[in-house]
Amino acid sequence: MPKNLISSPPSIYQLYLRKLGAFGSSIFGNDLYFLKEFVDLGIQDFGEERVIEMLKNDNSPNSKRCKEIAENWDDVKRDFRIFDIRLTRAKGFYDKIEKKDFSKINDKDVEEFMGYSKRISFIKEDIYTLAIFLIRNSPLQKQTIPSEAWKVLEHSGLKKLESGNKTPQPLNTESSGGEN
Amino acid sequence: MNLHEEFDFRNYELRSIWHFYKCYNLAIVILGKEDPNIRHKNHLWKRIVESQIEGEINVKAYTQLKNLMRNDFAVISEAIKEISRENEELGYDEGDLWTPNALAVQFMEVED
Repeated sequence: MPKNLISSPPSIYQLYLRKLGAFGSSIFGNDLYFLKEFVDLGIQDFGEERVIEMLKNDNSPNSKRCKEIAENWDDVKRDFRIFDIRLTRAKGFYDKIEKKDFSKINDKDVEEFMGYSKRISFIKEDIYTLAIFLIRNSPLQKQTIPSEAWKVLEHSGLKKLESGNKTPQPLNTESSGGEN
Repeated sequence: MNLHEEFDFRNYELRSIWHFYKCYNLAIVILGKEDPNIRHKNHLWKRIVESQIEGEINVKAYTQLKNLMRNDFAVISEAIKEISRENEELGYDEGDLWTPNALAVQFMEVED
C-alpha cells in the first residue's frame, strides 16, 4: 500500500463515491461512462503532472501497466478522447432508456446507438488501471460508498440494496448460479 | 437487439458477458496480470454485438468466448481473494461483499 495518500476535500470525495456507486450499480452498458468520469475527476484533482510522476513510481502489482501508461501518456490521452466521444454518444441513448422515453427513438437512432456501442471494447485495461491506481493512492480505499450513491440500480426499478453488515450465510449451491 | 429489449432486460447473455468482463477488467488490474487474448476477446465481443444487430447471434463467436470465460473466471476468483486479503490488512469491513453470489465466486474450486 502507498504510504503517502493524496487527500482531497470532503465534497470531492462525495463526487468520487457517487461516480463509483453509479459505475458499480449500473445495470446497463453505460457503467464505463461513470468510470471515465471518475478517472477524469481524479486526474484533475490529483493534477496531471503529479499523476504521471506517481504512475512512474508505482509499486503495486500492476506497476508494469502503470509505467507503460506514464510513458505513453499522450497516446493514452488521445485514445481516451476518442473513447470519450463514443461513450458520451452512447450514454445519451441510455438516458432515454432510464427515463423510459421511447417516443423519440426511431430505427436510425438504434442503428447509431449500436454503431457506437460495438466500438466500445469490453476489455479496457487503461481506464481500469487508472481507476484502481487513483483508489489505491487516496483514502478512498478505506471509504464505503453510501447507499444513496447506488442511484442507478434503484432508479431502474430494482429493489434497494441492503445496507449494513451481514453475517456470511451458508452457501446454497443450488440457488447461487444463473441469477444474472 | 434494440433499445426496448435492452430496457426490458431480455438480453441476458450480452448483459451477463458485459458485467462478467467488468469484473475481469478489475481482476487483471488488481492482480497485475497480463492477458495475451485481449484483442481476440474484444473482437469476439464486437462480432457478437454485430450479430445481434443482424438479428441472429453468432454462435461460433459466442461459444469461443464462453470457453475463454472459464479461465477468466479463475482470475476473478483469485482477485476476490486478493481483495479480501488487502481489506484485512486495511482493517476494512467488507460488508455487502459477503453475499451468496460473492461467496460462490470466492470458494469456487478452480482446476489446476
